[in-house]
Amino acid sequence: MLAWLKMIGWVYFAGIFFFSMRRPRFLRVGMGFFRRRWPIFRSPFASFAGATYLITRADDTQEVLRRAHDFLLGPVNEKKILTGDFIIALDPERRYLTEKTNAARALPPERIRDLERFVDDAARPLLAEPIDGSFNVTLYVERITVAIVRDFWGLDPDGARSNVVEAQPGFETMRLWLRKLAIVLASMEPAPLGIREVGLQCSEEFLSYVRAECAVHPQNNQDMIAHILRESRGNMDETVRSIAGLTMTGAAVVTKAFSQAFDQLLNFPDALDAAITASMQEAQLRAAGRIGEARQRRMFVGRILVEALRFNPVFPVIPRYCVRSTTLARGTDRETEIPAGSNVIVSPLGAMFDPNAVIEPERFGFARNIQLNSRTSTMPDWDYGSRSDGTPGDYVIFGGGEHWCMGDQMAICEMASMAVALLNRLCEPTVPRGARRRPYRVDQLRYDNSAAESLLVGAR
Amino acid sequence: MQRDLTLVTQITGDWQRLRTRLRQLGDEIQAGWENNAPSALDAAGRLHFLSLFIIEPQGSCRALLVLEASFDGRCPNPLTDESDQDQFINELVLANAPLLHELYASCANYPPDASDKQLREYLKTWKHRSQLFYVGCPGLTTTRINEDAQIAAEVEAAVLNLSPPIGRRAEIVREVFQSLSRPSRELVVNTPDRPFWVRHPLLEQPFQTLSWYAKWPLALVGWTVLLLILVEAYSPGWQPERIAPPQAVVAATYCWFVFFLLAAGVLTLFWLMIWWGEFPQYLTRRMTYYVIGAKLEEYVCTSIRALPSFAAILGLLGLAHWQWARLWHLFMWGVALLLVGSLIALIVWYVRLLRIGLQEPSDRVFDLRWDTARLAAVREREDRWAQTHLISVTNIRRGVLRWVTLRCVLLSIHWLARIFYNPLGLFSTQSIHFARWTIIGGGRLVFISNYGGSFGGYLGIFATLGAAGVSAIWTNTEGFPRGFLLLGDGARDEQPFKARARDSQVESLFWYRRYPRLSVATIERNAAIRMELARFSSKGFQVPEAEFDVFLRRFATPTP
Repeated sequence: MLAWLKMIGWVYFAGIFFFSMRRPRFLRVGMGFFRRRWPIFRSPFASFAGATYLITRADDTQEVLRRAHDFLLGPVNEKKILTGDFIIALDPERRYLTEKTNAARALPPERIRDLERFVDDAARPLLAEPIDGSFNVTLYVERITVAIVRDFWGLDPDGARSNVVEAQPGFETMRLWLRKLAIVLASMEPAPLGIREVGLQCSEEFLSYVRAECAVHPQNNQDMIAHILRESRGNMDETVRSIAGLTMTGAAVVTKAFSQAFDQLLNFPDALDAAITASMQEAQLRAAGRIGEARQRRMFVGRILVEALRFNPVFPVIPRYCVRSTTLARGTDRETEIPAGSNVIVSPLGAMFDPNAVIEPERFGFARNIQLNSRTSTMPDWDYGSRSDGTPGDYVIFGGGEHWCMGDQMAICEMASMAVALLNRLCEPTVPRGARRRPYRVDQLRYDNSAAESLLVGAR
Repeated sequence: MQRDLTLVTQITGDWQRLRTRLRQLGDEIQAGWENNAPSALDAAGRLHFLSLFIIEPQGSCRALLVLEASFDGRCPNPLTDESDQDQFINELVLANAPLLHELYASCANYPPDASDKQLREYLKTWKHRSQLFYVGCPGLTTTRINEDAQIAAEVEAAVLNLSPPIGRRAEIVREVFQSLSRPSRELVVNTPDRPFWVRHPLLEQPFQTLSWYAKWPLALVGWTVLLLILVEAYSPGWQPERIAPPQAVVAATYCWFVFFLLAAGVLTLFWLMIWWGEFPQYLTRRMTYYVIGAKLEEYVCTSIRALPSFAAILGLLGLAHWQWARLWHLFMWGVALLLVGSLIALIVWYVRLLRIGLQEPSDRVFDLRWDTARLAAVREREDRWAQTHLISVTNIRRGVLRWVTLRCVLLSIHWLARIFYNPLGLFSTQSIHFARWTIIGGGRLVFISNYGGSFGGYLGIFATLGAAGVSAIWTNTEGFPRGFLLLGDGARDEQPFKARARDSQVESLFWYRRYPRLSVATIERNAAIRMELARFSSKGFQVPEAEFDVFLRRFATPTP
């Protein structure tokens, strides 16, 4: 009887989970309530779902993320990353360090410029037609990310065939593979509603495809597969796992991030105006050959998008697993003993609206502190972030501590480049010398389980 | 489960000569441990600890020879109708008859030139029941302790040989398990269960334990009642009137059945609606059918598995309708009994307060007889290897009420220690292998303990964590630090308490121990290693990471 109730209850919980994850305003209010009343909240359903703690303050969130050896990410992601043990499914031990170092070393120094170019090249054909009716922003981003998988990562999607997803072979199949795998990552564990079954079948197809591609990949290419193959000294297993994991997380997270950021941007007219202005100036400066100044404008668009993402982050909550009994917020009045085996859920959304850490959290800020992962940054001036000041910064979008996202700067760069191209096209006058247009939301952001599915915008 | 044996015999011969001889034999056995020499008592495979000592004559009471042993229990032999203790006496005689013949030749009623059979019969007549017998590691037999130690050593070597540990904790533990020798793996897989009160500690997990106890009886009652209701529904009047449920009960059960069915239907409807809204998109037809099929299978199988408990709940609800009045009466009787019991306890407490509590300030306390030579002899054998032996003999204070109080306290602790099993040991001492309190002739209370660590530390825990329990027992004996209302003060006065314990100590003359190098903590650790490995392997190493972490941290090795 309990098993039956658990089975039914899990689907109900999944329904509530997806419902709340798609409503950032509702979630923000909820997290704010918990932050004020119970900053470290212990779930009363411990006997049903194991001891679970919800952390909503910024300093506590940073502490949990920083203490990667006590609050593990590996056990959480172990069953969610279906393409095999990837860096974010490993605990910070030797294998993790080796594979992370290999992946970080494989990132070429000029990757940011490369990415900007790849995005511009991929966006051009997608935006070739004039936008008269509605335009699906999510599809646009998804296609660009698959182009990045092809051009930057070196995984050619041309030969992709699937018996699982209903799509044209090649580009479209790859797009849906990546989406289905990312859905599992952003769902609960075990993923309900057939998500896991679909993900498992997709991972089999995707992995065989990546393995076949890596096996015949020329090692002297300038893409990431060739880089990782060289760094791992031809370790095919590690290369396949890393490439599968990196492409899946990279592509799907950027798609969802851009869709949600753009959706939020439409809610803030001033921010939207600033982004449109910066995008136009970028295009004009680039046309005039003033590349350096054009890049400055693009970085500003990146800042606006990151701030928009603060209002609806890709991961409003991040789970961790407490492997051994430990004390959280020691020395404060919130000091709590977290028993071994507990699930600890930190809330980046709650933390980024914590007035003790972020100044005027409800205001859309254009110059907040975007700290980036210093370990993987190759640019001394931190192109798409603030100068490193040793603090965690105002954002918890890219995690923290040992598991701080490796590709944070790349993601912002991709989003900024996509936004510049899209805004310029959307705001273009329909007739020569006509008035400039302004984007608006045609239909709300829709989801395919935990992944973004469509955001229809128009211009008028 | 381990059992105790206590034989108390009067010495008619020269007790001092016997004591000298026993001490000599004890010295020999102690010397044997140093050289890893075998002992004749090793042949008694079930034996954990055995000691022989002499209680000096007191007043009109003669000197007493006491043999106490702790051994692994076994079912009584149905062929010979022998009790467990009798069987053990047979084994003991078989293991070392010459020693027992020699020692008991000086005792009362010992047949001259007795045969082994006569010796066995003789010993069986002197059995003495302990009022409180505590086992530190319940369910761990001598064989099991030995096996656990070997497996733990093998596992430890395997863990430390991993250089350096990499991968997931589950992978490490799986690798360790696979590196064990085949016999060890078989032993691990076939690890016997420990007693149910150890596996389901009421103190630590009260709700889970109570539900574990109640689950099957309730299910059986529920199914039986439902069966009666079904029979009555389909063949009214077929059952004898005494057990036939009335039609009103049948109707009520039917209502409950419909209610549950409707509730399940509504839940399923919403379940389907969530499914409809969140069904994965962009799937091929084949994949869509596969997902639907898999989920339907899960729903049907889980629903079928839920039927027995559903039936039991229906039956119990039917029973509640049927026997409502009786159940209510039963409940009221229970409450009444509880109240009466509490009232009696209150009266006894009040009488005790009047009779004893008010007299306590005039009790004779701290009346010590320091005999340096005796104390030196007593302390000589302490702190050798991992265990120490403690024997204390005290006089029970006069009066029936004291005697009754002491017996009640001993009986209560004996059962409470089992019902509310504490993994940290009796009074949280965490070091007792076996302990017993026995009331012997002459109004004396004998306390015998095989414990790990030193005298000071052991008694120190008694004086702090176990002060209430220890005071409840020993405030009924002479010379013990003054108590307050049975549970207060007493042992909390640590130094006088230790001095009194030392003063009441009797020299441990002959002491046999099966595993002198193992403390309780080590035995429990070894058992835990084996049980955890068995559990991990039975679950295909699919257990929470925290459990692997606990396992690996037992070996003081860096974990991932």
